[in-house]
Amino acid sequence: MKRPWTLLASLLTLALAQVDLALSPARLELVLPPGGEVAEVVRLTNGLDREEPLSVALRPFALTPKGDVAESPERNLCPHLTVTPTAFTVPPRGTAEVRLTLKAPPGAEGTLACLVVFTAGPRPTGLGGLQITASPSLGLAVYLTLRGTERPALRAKVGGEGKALPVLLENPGNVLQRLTGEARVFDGEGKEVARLPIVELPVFPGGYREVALEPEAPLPPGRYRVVLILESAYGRYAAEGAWAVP
Amino acid sequence: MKRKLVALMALLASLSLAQTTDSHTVTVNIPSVLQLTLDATDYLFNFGDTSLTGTETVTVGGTPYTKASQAAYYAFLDTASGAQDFAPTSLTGTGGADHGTVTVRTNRAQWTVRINSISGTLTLGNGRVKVFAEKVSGKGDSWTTTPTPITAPLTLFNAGSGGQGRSVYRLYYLFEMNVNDDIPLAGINEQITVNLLLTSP
Repeated sequence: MKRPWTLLASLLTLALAQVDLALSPARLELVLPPGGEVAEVVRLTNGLDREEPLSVALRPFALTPKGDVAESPERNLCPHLTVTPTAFTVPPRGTAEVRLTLKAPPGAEGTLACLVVFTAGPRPTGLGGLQITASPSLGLAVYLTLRGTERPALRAKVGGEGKALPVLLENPGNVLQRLTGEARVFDGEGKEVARLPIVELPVFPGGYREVALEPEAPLPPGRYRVVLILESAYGRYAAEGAWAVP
Repeated sequence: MKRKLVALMALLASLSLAQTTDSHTVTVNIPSVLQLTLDATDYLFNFGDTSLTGTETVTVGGTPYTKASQAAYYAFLDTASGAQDFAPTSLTGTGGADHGTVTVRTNRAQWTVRINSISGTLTLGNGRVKVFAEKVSGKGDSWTTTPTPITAPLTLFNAGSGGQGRSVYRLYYLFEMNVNDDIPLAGINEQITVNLLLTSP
């Protein structure tokens, strides 16, 4: 008997959405020799019953120590990236395809990055008073690594104090390091008490990343030994440290 | 008879051949996806509104804030000595809810939602607008522990790891009025556009 209400609730939820946009793939990571060229297609899907006009902008970016994107001209891929079209409309409940063409610049080294930002226009209602209008965007992070110019490097530091395990990952190399692995935690008797996973964590070239790995269940107060084992496309890395849980 | 035997042998040979070379192709296609759903498109602060009584409140992060209205504004002018944060008079697109809802659906472990840009400038300053993101369900964490003046860029919420699935956050905006504000004779009828960006780095 609950079903009609569930259906009604889901219909209401659908009716309330003002913007419903999906981007696929969610990210592009490409490798090309200097001077090489590649074309990729990304799809934008509109989940609403009305059309959604979108505009495209390119923004060079880097990753912050907390993993956020921040505008930065240092490793700018945008001048070498062409998006077609730059303004288009996604049909109701439909999909639009956008073509990205990348030319790997000769003379550049390592990984370059550009954020392709798809923005839906605001929908002004013409109401009086002070008004804040939301305009949503989806950002496609595009990374291009120039084959043959890679100088990968990584410095990892694990351990410290806290309920979550502090990990510091520095990338003094010139390529994006996308790291997967785990921190294995051992108690005073050498018994493994936890494994804390790291999945596809990006560390920008020339940057660093701070993460705090939280165990699913809090560990009892004490001192632990931690072994960090990470892997990327460029190799395996390991570090060891002590962790004091208060 | 001989012919039949040859035909049978050929058939058996073909069967056994089919078995030894049989193979299956399993194709797996899992596109990575990043989806943003937003209900509220407009947050209206109307201090000339006469439909509200001045006592209506919206609770943001455990604190009640009075909705902007003429009655609430006059009461503020009568008693205030400094500043006060007001909740919106009304929202467009939420079906009556006092907050916006942002939903992120993805099969990516890491994503971030931030204020990417602000278009327009309010006479009283864009810093008078405060934002508060509250996690309802799913993954990641809010970066706003209290209502925070808007600026760009400003990370509102993100998942640094394990962000896959459907995550729902409430989005509140407040507007700070100061009793010492000298409002122009023509009043203030202004609009700013806040651009929210979802990305998976």
